[in-house]
Amino acid sequence: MKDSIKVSNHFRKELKQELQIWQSDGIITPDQSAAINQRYMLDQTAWESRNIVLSAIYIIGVVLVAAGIISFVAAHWDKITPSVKITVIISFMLACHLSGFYLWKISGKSPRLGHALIALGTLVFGANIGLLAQIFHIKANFYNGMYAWAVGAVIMAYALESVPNIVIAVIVSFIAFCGWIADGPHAFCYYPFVAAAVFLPFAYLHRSVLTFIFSFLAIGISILIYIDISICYGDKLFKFFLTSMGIGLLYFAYGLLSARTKNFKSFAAPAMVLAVSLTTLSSYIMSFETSVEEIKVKFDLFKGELWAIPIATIYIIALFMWIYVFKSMLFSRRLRPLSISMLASTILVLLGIFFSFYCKNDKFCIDSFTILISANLACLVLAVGLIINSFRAEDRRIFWAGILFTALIIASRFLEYETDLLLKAVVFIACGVGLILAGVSFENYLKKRRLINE
Amino acid sequence: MNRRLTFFIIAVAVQIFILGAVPAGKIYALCTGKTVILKTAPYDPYTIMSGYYVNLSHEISHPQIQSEWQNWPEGQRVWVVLKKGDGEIWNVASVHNSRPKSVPEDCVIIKGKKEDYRIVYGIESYFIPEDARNTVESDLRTNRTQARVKVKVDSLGNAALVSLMIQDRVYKY
Repeated sequence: MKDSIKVSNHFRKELKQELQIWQSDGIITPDQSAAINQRYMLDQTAWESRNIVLSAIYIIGVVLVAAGIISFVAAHWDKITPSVKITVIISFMLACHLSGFYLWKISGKSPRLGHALIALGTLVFGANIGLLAQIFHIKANFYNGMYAWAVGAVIMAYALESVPNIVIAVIVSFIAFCGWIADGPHAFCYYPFVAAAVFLPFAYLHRSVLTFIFSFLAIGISILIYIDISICYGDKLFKFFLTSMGIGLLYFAYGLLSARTKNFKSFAAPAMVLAVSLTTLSSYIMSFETSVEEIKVKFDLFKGELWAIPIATIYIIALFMWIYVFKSMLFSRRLRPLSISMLASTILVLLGIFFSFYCKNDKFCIDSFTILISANLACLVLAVGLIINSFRAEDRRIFWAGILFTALIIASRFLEYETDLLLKAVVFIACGVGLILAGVSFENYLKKRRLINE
Repeated sequence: MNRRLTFFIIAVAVQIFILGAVPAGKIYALCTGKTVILKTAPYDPYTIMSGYYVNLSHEISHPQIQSEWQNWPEGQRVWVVLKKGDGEIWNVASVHNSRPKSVPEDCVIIKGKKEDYRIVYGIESYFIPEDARNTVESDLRTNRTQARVKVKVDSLGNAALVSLMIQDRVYKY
């Protein structure tokens, strides 16, 4: 028999209440109740709840103490000599780290407080970089200091297997990247590669979903920003859409692959949510005539050809991953409608862009109508995919995402174009009634399924 | 446990090393450098303060002699030889795109970089604390041509700001 089973605290709480009812109703004996109690460690619920409250209190306490010390030092800052200033700030950082390490790893009495102190130490480390630059009148680009901060946070995260430290590193390095990219156009951007090489191994080594989400967000958004700001001349929007659809395709295939693994199953859902969000957002923006008109006006295929390299790389990797997914039939029945709609919507947009090109007076031109139709179709395919998938997965969240997206597309089209007010009223009422009816019928469907399963 | 402790010590050591590396060049220049006084003025006469920093434009940032440096590419490393003038102010003696092998005893070499049609030396910003902000700003506004900075220049050409001087007033933070 297993000593303990990993279940949520909420489940334990509910089961503990149920056990008492079962026992009083005579469904189970006191011995059986005790066995279940031991198996699921139900007595730990109170202890764990207390621990969570304690963690929150510790973190608030630590932040308040730190704020107090910082305010005290700041009040006397100008009167302190540089050598004393440096001693104070470094001592404060060391005090946080050492006390944190003692409480977390040596005595083990307050691991949560210890961990909070270590994270605070890393925050103080970042502040110290700025203070040292101020003391020595160094006014370099702020992002250099932030990159240095991120390096320190990464090393501490790996040394102590600390998720808060790696999250600090992801956020700080991403802000530094934004500063760097805003400083001027750059020929090549290392950030997404470095972020993938540094942050993802941590997520895998420690199976940290939070690190994975932050890393995927930082990598995806940094690629989009790089394409948008640094290497795109002429039309940015067109390449921006292409990239975001490509990243969506890549992340979704990655999610499908992760879902089939034993250890990294928990990464699948966030990857797919990010992928669907990116693809729906891109197709939705592209479905507006104003967006496509902008592409048409500013389009210049051969200006700034560098943009093609990262976009082509993303699509090639995504293509190989999807081929692998198809060859191994890795998508489960549960996710098949959404997988197919993701692939179909991206192909629709790509085909729309491809067929929109035409040659006029030896110049490449764009027929915006083709893109517009393909983007609207892509939106519908995605919405239908979400709704069908919600029935397969019996998942309310997917259902409402699909229904709301459908309503948004219809409402947007009617607000975008000048239509008769009466027609608008009819459509909006139909949308509202449709939403309510869809919700009721889905709930009935779920109820029926539950009855069949029982 | 021992392994974890070792990793922790390494991580803390790296953080301290980074903190040391940030001002290392400046500390070296302050400890070993030769003192020079440079004529300066606020970079933007209308916006003297940028946050808590006063942005300075030194006279040696726009050398009038050997104007060929103006044709050098942006980001080009520049070596400027400074010589003390008749008063306390140090002036540009020559401008080079590589480090001069030797300079006379009474000269110092300062390392800079061509940036935005001027030469920058990493001593263009001076931090002013909040309570002195208004005093320094109004002093600089009224005595714009009277400002000087005391700088230490080390043997490698790195420079560090020591103080800002306006007429006979010294602002050192």
